[in-house]
Amino acid sequence: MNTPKIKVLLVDDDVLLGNSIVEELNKRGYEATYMSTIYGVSDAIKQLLPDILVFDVEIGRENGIKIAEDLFKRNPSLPIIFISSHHEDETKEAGLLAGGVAYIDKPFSPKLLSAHIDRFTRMKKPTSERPEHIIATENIQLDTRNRTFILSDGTIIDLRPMEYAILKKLIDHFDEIVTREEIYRAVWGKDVAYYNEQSLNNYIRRVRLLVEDNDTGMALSMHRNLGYKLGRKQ
Amino acid sequence: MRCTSGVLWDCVISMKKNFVYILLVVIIAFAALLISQGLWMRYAVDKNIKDMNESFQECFKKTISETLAYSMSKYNIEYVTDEEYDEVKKKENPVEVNIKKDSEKTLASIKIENALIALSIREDSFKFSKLDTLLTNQLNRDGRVVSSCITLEDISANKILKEIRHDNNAKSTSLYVNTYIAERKIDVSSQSYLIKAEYKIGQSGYLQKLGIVAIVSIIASIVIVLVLFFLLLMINRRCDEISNMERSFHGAIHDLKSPLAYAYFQLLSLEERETDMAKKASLSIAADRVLFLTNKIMRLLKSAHNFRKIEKTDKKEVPLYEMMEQVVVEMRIMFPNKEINFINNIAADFTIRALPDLMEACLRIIVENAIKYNNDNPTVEISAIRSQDDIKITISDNGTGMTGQQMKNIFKPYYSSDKVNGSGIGLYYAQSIAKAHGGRITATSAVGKGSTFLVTLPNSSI
Repeated sequence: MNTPKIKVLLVDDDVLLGNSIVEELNKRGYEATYMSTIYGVSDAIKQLLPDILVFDVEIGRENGIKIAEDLFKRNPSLPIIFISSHHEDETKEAGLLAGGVAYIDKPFSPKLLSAHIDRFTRMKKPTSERPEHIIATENIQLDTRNRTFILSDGTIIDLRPMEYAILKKLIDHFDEIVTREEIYRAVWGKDVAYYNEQSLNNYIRRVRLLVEDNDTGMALSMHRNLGYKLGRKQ
Repeated sequence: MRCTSGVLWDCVISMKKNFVYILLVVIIAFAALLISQGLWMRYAVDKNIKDMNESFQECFKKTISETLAYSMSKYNIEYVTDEEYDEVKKKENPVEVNIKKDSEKTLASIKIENALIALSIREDSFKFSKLDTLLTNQLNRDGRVVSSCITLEDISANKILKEIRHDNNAKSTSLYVNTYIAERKIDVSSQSYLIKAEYKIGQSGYLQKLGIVAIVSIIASIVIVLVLFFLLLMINRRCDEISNMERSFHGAIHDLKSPLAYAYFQLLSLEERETDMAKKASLSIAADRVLFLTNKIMRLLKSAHNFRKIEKTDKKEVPLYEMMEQVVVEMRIMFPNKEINFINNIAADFTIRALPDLMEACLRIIVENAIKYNNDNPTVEISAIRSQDDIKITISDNGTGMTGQQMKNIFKPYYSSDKVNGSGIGLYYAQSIAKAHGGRITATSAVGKGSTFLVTLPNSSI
């Protein structure tokens, strides 16, 4: 209320997606503006003074990265997040070299985008203290508002609700054994009817891959008949 | 396809580099051919002139003898040349003077002949017109006499006594005319005469034919080069068309992704707000399906590019058992109507070093095929063995199996025995992944009994 809303300018030629992103962001308390073409973006930046620019790489069948490079040179303090359905590493690299702060592959979830926006607008501000919605353990962070996982290098990974519930439980009890019952409860609440062993195994597997594949220096270990423990890698 | 030289040049520039090289090499080859042909022609012409000159000299000498014989006939003297002498000897008995040396013999006969010629010149009975006619007639057999000039010069008095000139220039269309000169010096004690014949002779039939052959080969060379040029132009155009098609195909596939991005975004937005656990789970699964489809599209796009070899550093330890379990979970979602009997014989701690996403895709494709081309109760059995050198992953099914013909083609791109459901890209892609990992996929199959796919990977744990 007293803190000003974060102003987001979204440029994407997919009108349907663009409108729903803006609608979603506005619902989440951002002040989002949508533009479907590249024309006039420079003026819009001058008028709106957005805190962040979300930019589709394939805008208007032109090389959006080139255009973004231009925008970046004119507004060096404006963070740019690229969104794209080009998943090639070269495109990503070019995007980041052109001055983008992040590159999100389409399709993405609303919360992944808002996690990125939060992170890169926060970085802009001089206060280095961690916002309350970020839980940190060792060198990983959990964004509790957007329910995403932040790696030490700044990469933000989207989490499914179940994955988030499990990860949060494990981080809250870092280096402690968490029983299966506790995890069941964290995922499905008290509603025993939904408890499903196979699904749980599946989610735990995904969480383990998340933790262990991303060089977090942590490991999820299984303790027979006791439960699971998130701890430092041995 | 008319091309002015400017347009032609533009055409050349727009071609692919190697096409231009091909064209250049061919042109050089033909130029070399034409040059060698020209040299050969030149040689032939030189040889021809030499031959002609020789025969002209010979002819001149002979004709003088003949003319002399003609003028001698008025004295009733039979004047014969060497060749005719043998005939004469048979009929009459001439007095023979024997001169030992052959060269002296010739010299003597020439001296006698010269003396007789000098005599007939003095008496004005040596018919130069006759000489001219005879020479022209003789020469016209090999070539065509364009102009002729016979002169009689009195060297001692230094004046021209006689000159007979003929000119057929009006009729001349010959391109190639050469001048031949022959002389006969007649020295007799007090006087010396010079009979000189200067003939211009047009090209012989032989040279004419040679010229035609050369022109035909030049035209043929030009035609061949032009045909090749247009052929390359057509291939080039076709190449451009194909690459355009590929690009638009890529574009079209890419466009499939944008509605999916929208659906994914909306589904997850709904899912986040949904409080009903069952609905939430459904929305989550739906979003997963959309993501799966997007990844499948990416795979289709990527498969068009060839994989480079995967770097060792990119590989990770992948627990195979869990990976396969995950694949089967996906399969159960993909084929809800099939009761999949999945036998996972892989040891729980069995790991392979691979790129997790790609290796999972590779194995998923094989398992998907095992289930897809099967009845409603498919059995898929998976096992893995590690040996000294390699890792063998066996995936066998009780499906429809494949014929020998199908087996030959399954790893080729865009080949599919199933014209309805198959994209023909799956196994090709799987094989590319295996090869990028330094391994390969082989298959054995029996129609009606099922197929077994064997994925062999190098044992990189060493």
